[in-house]
Amino acid sequence: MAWMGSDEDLLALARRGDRGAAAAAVYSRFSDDINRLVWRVLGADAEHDDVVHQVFVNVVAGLGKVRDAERLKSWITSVCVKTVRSEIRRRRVRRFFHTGPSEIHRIAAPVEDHEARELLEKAYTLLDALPVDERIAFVLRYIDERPLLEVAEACDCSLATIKRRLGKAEQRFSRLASRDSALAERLARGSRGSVAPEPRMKELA
Amino acid sequence: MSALEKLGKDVGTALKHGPGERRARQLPALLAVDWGRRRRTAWALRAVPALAVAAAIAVVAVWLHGRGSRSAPPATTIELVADGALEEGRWLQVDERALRMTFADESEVLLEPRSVARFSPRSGGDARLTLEAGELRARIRPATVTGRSWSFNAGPFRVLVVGTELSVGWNAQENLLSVHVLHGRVQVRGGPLEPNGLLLASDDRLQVRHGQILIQRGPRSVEELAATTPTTVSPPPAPEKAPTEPVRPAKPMTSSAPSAPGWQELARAGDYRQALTSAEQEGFEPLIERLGAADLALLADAARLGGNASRARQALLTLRRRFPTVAAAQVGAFRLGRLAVAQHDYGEAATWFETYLKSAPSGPLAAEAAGRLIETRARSGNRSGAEAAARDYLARFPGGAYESVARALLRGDKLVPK
Repeated sequence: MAWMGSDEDLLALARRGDRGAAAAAVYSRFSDDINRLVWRVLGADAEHDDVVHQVFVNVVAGLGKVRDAERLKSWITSVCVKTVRSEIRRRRVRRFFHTGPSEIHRIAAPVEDHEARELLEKAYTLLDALPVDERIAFVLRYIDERPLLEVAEACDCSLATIKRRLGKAEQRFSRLASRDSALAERLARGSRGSVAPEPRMKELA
Repeated sequence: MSALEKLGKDVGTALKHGPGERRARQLPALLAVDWGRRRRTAWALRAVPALAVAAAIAVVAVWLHGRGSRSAPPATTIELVADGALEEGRWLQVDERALRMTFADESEVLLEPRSVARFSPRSGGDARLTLEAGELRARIRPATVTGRSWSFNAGPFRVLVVGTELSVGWNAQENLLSVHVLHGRVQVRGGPLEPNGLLLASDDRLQVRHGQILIQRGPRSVEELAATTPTTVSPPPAPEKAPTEPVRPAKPMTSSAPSAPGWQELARAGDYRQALTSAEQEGFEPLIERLGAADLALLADAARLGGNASRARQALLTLRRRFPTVAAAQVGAFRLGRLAVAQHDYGEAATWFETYLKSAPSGPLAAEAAGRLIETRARSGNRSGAEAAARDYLARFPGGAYESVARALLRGDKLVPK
């Protein structure tokens, strides 16, 4: 059933301690946003539902502490980012201790189009190689197409920090992409097709 | 728009479908959370490091003292008929009282105090319980009797139950898996036990900690495993292995398990390299002569995406020879063009893109093929052909991805840096 109340009503529900009702309301209100964000940061992931579940559990657990209803959406985004960050770190620890064939099939062939599937596989293989904070900033900025200020807010850091982080992520991603002929070709094509390629870091300078 | 912005946008577009119908399970799982129990166990989660140390000490103590704790019942146990929890994929958080779950197939699973687990609803009759932390004991009726296959996941490991009584422990902080088979057989997969897993039989104990494998074979184990025919389960690891011998890495089984997925399944799951390896084991060349068009296209994709261009080319050429009229063969021409580009054979690539455009002028890859035709003709030194392709492209796909390339070429720009 869709949540028809306001965000203020939702917070009031949480403050009353009715976590079951608050969970249903939060899911109704924010499931699209959270699914989209997790899906984009992790890619088409076999454990997507589990991660989303953990995000909601964390959100419901902390909902009572939120005072400003206008900040609810951005607070939930930051909880989502923190949860996904923890998940990525947990997986890296696992992979560190269990070398060999990766046990995590990050891309579960979500689309019929082979071109798209290949792009996803290669892009997320590269993203796997980025430090987790850079990866998240990169995804929010380029794949989720968020403005820099929103990226900074979601990552709970300053605009200057997010600019530095994105700069490093861009360099690292481009360097890794240059080693793959298909991605390099795609990036070169994008460069040729751009009308006036602005240096990214000048955007809000 | 910068190149990275364009790439990110393309990735976002490719992901647009999102998780789709899988989301249907999210809300029921969230509503099934026992928030009261979560609060009561919150202290335990905050004390995870101390608990981890205590659990490790306890496991080592059990390990050293054999079966001492095997039948020790918990002080208090909650009983639950758990078929509903299984169907709904519920999360289970056990406090100080153990949770004993019984199922319609007469299997029983007991979650020890302070364990966390979750069911994963699966299609068909399978049942899967993921142990997030703690320990479980299970008595599983054989799948041949009940029609339900059970498996327990713990971290990167998966314990496939043939029909048995066993205990499984998982400590994520310590990366410690412990399996004790009381009766019957199980196969443990994942982590350093890949690719073929490890078969355990009665009285066997297994510990995997930070990639170190420790196997303690029980007195009944070797006999049972030796009696197992290769058509039902994999043979055991080297029988001369002494009890409690540390092993690293895991010794692979000498024959593959019967349930090993075929190349098609691996390819559909995106595991292209393994799919190709599996296809090679079946005999690649006879295989491509007998597969249908769809499977042949799938095999070609597995080879291409798995990084074996020559096998991909071989499969695609066979696809076009054996099934010249099917759509997959048309797409095959485009794929052959791309493979030729990767080999820097631009003349051949241009020929394949032309072939695709002739056979499917309005096909789903027509714009891409037309754009690539400009580039490959230019790169192969066919300037006039490239200009003709550029004019065709601008007429047919104004505003397309290769528009700037086409315009640059017609302006006389040097398209290909030498």
